[in-house]
Amino acid sequence: MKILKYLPFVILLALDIGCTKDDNPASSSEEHEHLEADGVLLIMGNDSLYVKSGDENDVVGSFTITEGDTTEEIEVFFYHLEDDEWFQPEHDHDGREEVELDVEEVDTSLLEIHLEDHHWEFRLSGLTHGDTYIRVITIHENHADYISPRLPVTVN
Amino acid sequence: MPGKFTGFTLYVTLLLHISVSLTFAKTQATARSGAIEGVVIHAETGEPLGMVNLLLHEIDAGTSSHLNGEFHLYRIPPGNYTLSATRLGFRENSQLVKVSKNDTVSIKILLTPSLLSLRDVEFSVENQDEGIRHDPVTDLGGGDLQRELGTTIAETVSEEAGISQRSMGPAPARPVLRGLGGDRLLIVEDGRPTGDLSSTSADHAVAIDPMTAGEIEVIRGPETFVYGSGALGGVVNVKRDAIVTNPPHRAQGRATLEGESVNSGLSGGGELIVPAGDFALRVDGSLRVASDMNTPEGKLDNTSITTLNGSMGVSYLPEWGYAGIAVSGYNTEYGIPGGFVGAHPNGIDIQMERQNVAFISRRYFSQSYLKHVDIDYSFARYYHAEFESSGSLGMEFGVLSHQLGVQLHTAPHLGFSRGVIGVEIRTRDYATGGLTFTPSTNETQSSVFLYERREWSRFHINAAARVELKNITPDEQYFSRTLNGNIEDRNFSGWSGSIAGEYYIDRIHRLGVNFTRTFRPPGVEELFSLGPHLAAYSYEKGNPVLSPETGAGSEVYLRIHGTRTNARSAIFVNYINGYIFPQNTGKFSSRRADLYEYRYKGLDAVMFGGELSVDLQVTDAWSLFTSGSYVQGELVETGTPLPQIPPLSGKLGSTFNVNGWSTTMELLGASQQNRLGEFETPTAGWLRLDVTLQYQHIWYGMLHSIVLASENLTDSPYRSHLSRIKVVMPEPGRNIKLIYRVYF
Repeated sequence: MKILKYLPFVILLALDIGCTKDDNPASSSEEHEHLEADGVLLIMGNDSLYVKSGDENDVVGSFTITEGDTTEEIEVFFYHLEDDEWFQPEHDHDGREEVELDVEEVDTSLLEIHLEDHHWEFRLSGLTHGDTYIRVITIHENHADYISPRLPVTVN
Repeated sequence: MPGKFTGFTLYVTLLLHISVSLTFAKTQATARSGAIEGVVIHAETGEPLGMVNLLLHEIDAGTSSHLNGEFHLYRIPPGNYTLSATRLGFRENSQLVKVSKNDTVSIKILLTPSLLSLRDVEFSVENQDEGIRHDPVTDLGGGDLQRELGTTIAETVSEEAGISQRSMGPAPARPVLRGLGGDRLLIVEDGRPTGDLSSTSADHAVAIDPMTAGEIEVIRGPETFVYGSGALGGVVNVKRDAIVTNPPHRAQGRATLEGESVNSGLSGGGELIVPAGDFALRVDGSLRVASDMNTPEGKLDNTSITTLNGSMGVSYLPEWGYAGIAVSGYNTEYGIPGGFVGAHPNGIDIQMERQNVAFISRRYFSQSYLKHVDIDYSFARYYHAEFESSGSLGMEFGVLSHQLGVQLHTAPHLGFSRGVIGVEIRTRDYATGGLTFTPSTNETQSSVFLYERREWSRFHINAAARVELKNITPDEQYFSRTLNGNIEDRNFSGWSGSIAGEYYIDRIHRLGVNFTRTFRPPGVEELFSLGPHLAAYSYEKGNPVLSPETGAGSEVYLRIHGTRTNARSAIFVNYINGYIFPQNTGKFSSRRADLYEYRYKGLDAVMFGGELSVDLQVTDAWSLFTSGSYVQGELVETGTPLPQIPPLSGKLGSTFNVNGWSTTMELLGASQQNRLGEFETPTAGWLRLDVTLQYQHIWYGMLHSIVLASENLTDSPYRSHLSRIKVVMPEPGRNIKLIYRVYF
């Protein structure tokens, strides 16, 4: 029976030593850099439209485009609350962890959206007259890091 | 990197060394030299009764009677005990038994048939010595547990007065008691924390399968402070008895098979205890497979469940006490339905696993002031990952937790019949991964507690106090503009306690009152959460400046344990200073405009209400039962109702017993809930009819028990106010359930 005196002690000690912080199953997975965006700014020529944290998520501005026309490049900037600055993520063309821009129209089909890989800009073509909304999304590792509120666009 | 010593490792190692040395030291240990032998007899027919559960409450030692009615309880330390005998269909019989050194007590127990869980108490309250039985508010075991057995612990206990279940689909349900959930209602397994994260979010399941539970008890009042300091609601203790603590007289066990129609579910499980000299081995396991749940309005997609669960324990059971170690594992995969505002269209899939190692020991002493010393150590590794329907990882949680407790159980002293002094240390290594910005943290929690009980003739008092220190250290420290606070070390200290008095008006009626103060430091999720919680369909923001939550509660109750009546009524009020809850801000997150933003707040709140439950045996073959409960909760400053408060609910039923067949019909229901927290929607009232048929028979030396139940027989569509997915689908539709259990 003498071995029993030490058996639980040895098992538990081994277990305890064997389970240090680095063994936490959630910290052992691959680390990914996620985009921390608290707002978005779209610039189309002299027009701009933005929404950012701290402003009650109200969208300031709107775009009006012409039916049958395609806009110039609409540049996309993101707002980072921690640094209180607007930025554009740097694309790492060789890296596997890349954040991609996506823009989608909400509920309607008044627009055609033109996106280019590895660019923080897009263009819109007005298909049909009416009011609609778009969302700006950043995709990373198959899920959305950032999803903007509905951003108003009018097709005249 | 394994092998890296931390301060805690050294601390635990030192304490364990002292503890184990103490356990095995050649000191004046009391030999467990007493024994109880006896026979259980049918009071009306005189026939011996087998498969009767016998339990010595004071030391939680139990066995079951053989087919010839005989039973044996060995290695009992000298003392006075309450021995209770229970079997489905019979009135519980409790006797006061005095065990002397090197003596064997012989007793005969008569069991009277009864439809209700009534109790024959064969000693008067005036003559009670130290034989004070542990008396939980709710105690589900044996046939009652089999009849109520559900997919989750919450579903299993949800029909008890005052209990409702928070849910987000069938798998991640968690009980709520008197409107109090989360950390305010502790769920422990064999008295130990589970190490899971079920208290932190509605989508996190409790990592316990009711299939392997032997008994589920709900404890309130001073005794809860043996388990923790913040459980204003109480403690749900799931007794699995993974480590055998009393020498079994023979190999014994049980096996269960269950099938249900509402989700095409099939589950099975079993338990086996084998004696081997001074040792005992116990193994258990269960497997549960269920498809998507049917409701009266159609199938609720993404609600399937697969759970594998098991444990193995070895015990050494010499005369000085016992020591044992058990390992257990719990793996489950389940779905969270989607399809509503803020939800992922196709829902979220969750994979969860928990591994646990536990070591316990008890050593009896002969000193006049010390009865026994208990040592309890457990380690749990918990992991869960949430996946979008595309298969991509949304977020993951990992928790490594250690818990070490030492309890000194005192012998009767200074007029106190029972006392416990305890020290407990818990650590938690918490990490998150995937799409989240919540920092990883380390937590250390140290507690000292005292529990005492004293009797003055008809007046009994229980009291407990607990002092707790808690430290939370994030891996990185910085100022967060997003959370508007510092991510930094937080240290908390405070005290909690309770005093409860009970007056025995006569042998049947008891009047009680208790006052409770709780102390609950905020958790890491409440302080530092930041990120989308996809399965909870929320964007969570912690509050780094939260203060501890303190509760002050009081309850007055009347209990009746008569020969034909079992009743309990209570009124209560709980005032919570700085009640911490995730408040829906009503706006979408600035980072994820598809998710509502929830921000943790600490606001003063008050909850009050009452409960009533009555069981009445009208004739030998017919009984009636009813229960009801109500709670109202609101914020003190504004009077705004608190969210997730259950409406008035209750049940009314009747049981008939014919030739060993027991038939129960019960009507369950709840009123509408129009007292709504911010951004909550109202819930309509509902009624549901359940019918249950139960039969027990001893065949080939084994007790066979069959339950055939139809839940929601009329397939009525109804919604639970505490369901986060009530807007998508109602609660389960008609469910035909067959449960077969054999005891051997």
